[in-house]
Amino acid sequence: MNFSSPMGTAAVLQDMNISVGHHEFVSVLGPSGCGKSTLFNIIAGLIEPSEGKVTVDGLSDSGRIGQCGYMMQRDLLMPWKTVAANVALGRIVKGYPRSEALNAARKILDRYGLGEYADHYPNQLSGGMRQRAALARTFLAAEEILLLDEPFGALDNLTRLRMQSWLLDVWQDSEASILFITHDVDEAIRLSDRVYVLTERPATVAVTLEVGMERPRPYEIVLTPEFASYKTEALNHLHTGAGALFGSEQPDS
Amino acid sequence: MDKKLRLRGGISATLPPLLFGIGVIAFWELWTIITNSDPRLFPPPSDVANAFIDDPSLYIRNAKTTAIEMVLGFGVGAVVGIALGLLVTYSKPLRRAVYPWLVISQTIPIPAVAAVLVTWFGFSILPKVIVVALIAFFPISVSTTDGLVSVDSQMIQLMRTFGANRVQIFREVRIPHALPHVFTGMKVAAAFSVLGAVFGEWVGARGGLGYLLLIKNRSVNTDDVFAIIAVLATLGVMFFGLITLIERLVIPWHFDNRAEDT
Repeated sequence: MNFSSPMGTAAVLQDMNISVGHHEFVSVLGPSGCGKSTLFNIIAGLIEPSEGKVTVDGLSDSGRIGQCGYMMQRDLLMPWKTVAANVALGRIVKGYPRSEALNAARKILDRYGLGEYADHYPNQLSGGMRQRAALARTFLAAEEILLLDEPFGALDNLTRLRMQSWLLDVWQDSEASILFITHDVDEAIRLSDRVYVLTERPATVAVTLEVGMERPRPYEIVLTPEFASYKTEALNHLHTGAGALFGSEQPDS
Repeated sequence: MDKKLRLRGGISATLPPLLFGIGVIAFWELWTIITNSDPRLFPPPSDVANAFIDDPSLYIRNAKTTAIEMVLGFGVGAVVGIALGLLVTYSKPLRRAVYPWLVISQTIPIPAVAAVLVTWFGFSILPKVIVVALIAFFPISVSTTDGLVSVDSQMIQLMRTFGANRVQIFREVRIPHALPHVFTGMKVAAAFSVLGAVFGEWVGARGGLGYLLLIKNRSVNTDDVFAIIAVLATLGVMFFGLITLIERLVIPWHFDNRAEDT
C-alpha cells in the first residue's frame, strides 16, 4: 500500500505491507514524524490509500469504517460527558440502546478499576486513569481490532510501565487483535508478538521482528540477553535510514 | 467534601465588592454633607433610598414593564442569534453574504432605529422588544458561531471511526462543545438588554423605568432618577444572574472541573 500527501508530491508511506492476525499483538515502531498516524488513519478508514488495499475482517474500502476501535494519542474524552457516557459513546453511535450501552460501559469500567469514577467527569481523573477510560471506550466500540496510537506516550515512565502490564492483562483476557504504534523500542518489544520497524519518510518496513519471548512478560524482561538482542536489531534498523538521528524529521500529520 | 471550601470561596468572592460598594455609598453621603451640595443636583444616597421607600409600587410596577420587554426581547434575540450562528457555520455562501451585514448592523445607532420603529409600531411593546432583540442577537450569534467552529477536529475524527453520521457528530460533539460559548454570549446580551429596553422606552412609551426616568429627569427629581438607575442596575444584575443559574443547570460539567485531585 502507498500513500502520498494530498498534493501528491511527497510520498508518506511506501510499499507498506503489514498484517495482524487473530489475537495477535503487533507493534509499528518508527521515528517520530514518519507517518505512523497516517497509517492508522488509513486502516481506520478515515482516509484512503493512494494505491493498494486495506482489508479489515474481509471488508475493504468504505465498508471498513467503524470496524476498528481507534485510540488516538490524546485520550479525547469529552468533558461534557461522564466517564461512563464517554466509554459508551462508540456503542451509542452504533445504534445500541443508550441504557444498554451505559451498562456495558459500567461493567468494563469495573474491570478496569474505574467503577467508582463512572459518574465523574473526565477532568476529575488522573492521566493514567484517563488513558484507561479511553482504552475502555476503544474496546467497547470494537472488541476485535484495536488500533492504539502511542496510547502511553504522554504518561510518566512509571505509570507507563504499569499501564503496559495492565494492557497485556486486558488483552490476554480478550479475543482482541491489537495494532500498536510507538516510538519506544522497549515498549514495542515487551508488548508484541511481532514488531514492524519503519524507516523515515517515505516510511516502509525496514525489518519485521518476530518476538518469540514467553508470556507473561514482567518489567524485568527488558534486562534479559534475549530482549537485548531484539533491541539491538531494532535499533540498528532505526538508525540506518538516509538521515540517521536527526536527518529528515517532519511534523506528523 | 469541598463544599465548605467553595462556600468560603463564595464569601471571599462577594465580600470585597460588597465592602467597596458600601464604602463608595458612605463616601458619597459624607461628601454631600461636607460640601453641602444641592440635593437636586447631587442627592445623598439616603435621599435616594427615601425616594424608593416613599412609593416602592411605582418603581416595581414600571420595573415589571421593563423586565417583560427585556425578557421578550432577549428571547427573540437568542433564537435569532443562535439560528444565525448555525446558518453562518453550516452554509458557506450564507456566511459570505450575511456575516459582513451582521457586523454592519452593529454600527447603526440603536436610538435611531428605535425612533423608526415607534413610527411603524406606535407606543406598543413591540418596538422595545425589537430594540432589545437587535442588541441581544449579535453577541449570541458571534459566540454561537465561535463555539460551533472551534470544535476539536480529532474528536470529530474519533466519532467518524465509530461510523458516526453528521447528525450524531452534531448532537454528541458540536452542540455540547458550543454551549459554554453560547452562554457567554447570552450573559453579555443579558447585561445589554437593560440598555435596549431603556432606549426603546425613551423614544416612545407609556410606562417602564426608562419612561419614568425621562419624566423624573424633566422635573429635576434627581433623587428619583438615581432610585430608577439603582432599580435598572438591579434588574440587569438579576437577569445576568438568572442566565448564569440556567448555565449552571444546563452545563454542570463546565463548572465541575476543579474537584478532587486524585
